[in-house]
Amino acid sequence: MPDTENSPLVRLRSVTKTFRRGSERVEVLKNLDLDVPRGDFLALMGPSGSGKTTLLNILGGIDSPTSGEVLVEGKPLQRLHEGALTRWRARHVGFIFQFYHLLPVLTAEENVALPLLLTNLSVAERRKRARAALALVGLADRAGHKPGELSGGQEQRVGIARAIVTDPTILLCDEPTGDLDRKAGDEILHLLQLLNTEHGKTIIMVTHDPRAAARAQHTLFMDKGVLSEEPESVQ
Amino acid sequence: MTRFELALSAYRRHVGRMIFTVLSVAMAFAIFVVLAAIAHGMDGHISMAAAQRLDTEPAINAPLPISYGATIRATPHVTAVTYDTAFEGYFRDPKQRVLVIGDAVPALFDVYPEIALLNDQKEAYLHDRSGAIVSENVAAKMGWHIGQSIPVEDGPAQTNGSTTWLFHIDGIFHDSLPEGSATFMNAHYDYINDGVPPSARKDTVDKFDALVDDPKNVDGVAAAIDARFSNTSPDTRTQTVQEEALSQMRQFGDVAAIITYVGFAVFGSMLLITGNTMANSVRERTGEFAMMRAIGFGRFEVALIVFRESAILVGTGATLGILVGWGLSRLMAPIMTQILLAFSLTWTAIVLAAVLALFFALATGFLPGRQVARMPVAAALRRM
Repeated sequence: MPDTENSPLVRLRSVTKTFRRGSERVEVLKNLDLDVPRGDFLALMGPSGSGKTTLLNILGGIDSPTSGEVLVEGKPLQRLHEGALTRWRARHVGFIFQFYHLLPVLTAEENVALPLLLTNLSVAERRKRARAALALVGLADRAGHKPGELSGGQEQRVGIARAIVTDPTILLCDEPTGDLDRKAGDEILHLLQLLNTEHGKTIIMVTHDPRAAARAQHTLFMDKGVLSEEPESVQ
Repeated sequence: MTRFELALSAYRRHVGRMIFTVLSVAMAFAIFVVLAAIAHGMDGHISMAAAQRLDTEPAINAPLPISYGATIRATPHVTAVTYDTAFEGYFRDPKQRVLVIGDAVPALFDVYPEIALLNDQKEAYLHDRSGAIVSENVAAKMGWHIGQSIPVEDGPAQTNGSTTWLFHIDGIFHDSLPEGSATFMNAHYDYINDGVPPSARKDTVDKFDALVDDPKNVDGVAAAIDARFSNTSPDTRTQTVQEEALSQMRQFGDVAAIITYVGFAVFGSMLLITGNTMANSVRERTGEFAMMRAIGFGRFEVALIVFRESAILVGTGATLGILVGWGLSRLMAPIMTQILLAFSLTWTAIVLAAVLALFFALATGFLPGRQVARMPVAAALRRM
């Protein structure tokens, strides 16, 4: 039994990821080791193509490493069969995407309630939780609005509400402010900080933006599939 | 929000596309329903024909002498013989055509036991030379009732020069014919034959119907009857009523085959249109399905969403199509029953349409459903 209280929430050991591009083998992640403590807010910075999003996908269980070990809460993800991995993802991971990925025909409340369709909760309970999540991100009065009727910042707040509505263990954010202006971006980062400090959510955020990374507790830099604590190697 | 509402929401994106696709499905099912009503009419025509009945008609276009009846009756295994002569006229309005069949009574009831008439009505009919009986469907269609006098105009000229024939409705029978039977009335042969002036057609009949003791004897009896009249003029052609019905239908060509081909073509087109709509709809939402997979929807769950969408599409179209087809078959019945003995929508056809709708929902949802189930989530998210 792993010591879940003291051991890191996320642990990567010797993780590599290789893609095939035609006859060429491209090594996107090179022998990565990483520990993310519970309650951490980690920013991953690096240039495009450095492997940040691939790493995030592996941590979220929507991609698998070519070799190495990924443990979340002591659970080795690569040993879970697909169905179990999907269920684990639904229960423990909240994804926040750069382009929100909201369903345009659903209201904010319905979008937030989407992950709850996978639970056994009643319709009334799902609605109640979705409204609570929307209230947490400051959009209680926009529950009946569709994404097209919201600003970019509000859409991302809905995306965050959708990510937290199942009360996941870890939030994985892929450029959450990448499509927003500075003001809206600041609001989103403030919200993420709040979720981290007030609600104890462990957050791993991929970003290009040093201002965004500055909001995190720690920042790691990635270049050509290698992680480092110093930005010097990042172009 | 429920899973059903989630599937339904997909159609709020392109309302126009949804409407046109539903209409194409509805059209296919409406055509199916009308074709099924035609097929049912053909079945009705054939199924009424008892396997034990033989129909003897002239081999050439000439009426048969009534005296042939005694010879046919004397043929071994023949248990009863009736004969008829018919003319067509109209009731009140030239558009309300009525076929008057003058039958030999009471032999008619021996040869056609499916004519179920109450005893008192049967007695009244047997003793009323100008009496007539009609089926329940014809009575309802024409608004006729027992005791009513029915003038049929435009018939053959009578001895007194009139072409209007007067009949009295003595009975309304229930028969095993399906709903929508053609408009005909059974009258007395003698009344019609005695009413016309002497001519080459007097004392002649259009055909004889013989009842054979056992279906296995019908071929032998048919051959025996035709052999008996082979050296007389006119000679005869005898066949089962079933064969006669089939040969009548063949006058229209191979209707069953045409119906089948048209059905295949219509449903094939519908399958392509609906399948293409579903494929496009799913392709446009690759990112959304990838997001759903990422947040915890399994392969089967996203495929099920697609299946629900295709079921809603095909189900709505099929329901609409069946209703439209039902309405069309009701509208077309007065015309179609001039050709077919029956023309109506049956529960069998509705159940078959429902089964087909289920099949098409699965067929049109299968490929797009498989596509979203198999999509590599990370790659699909990256493409957005």
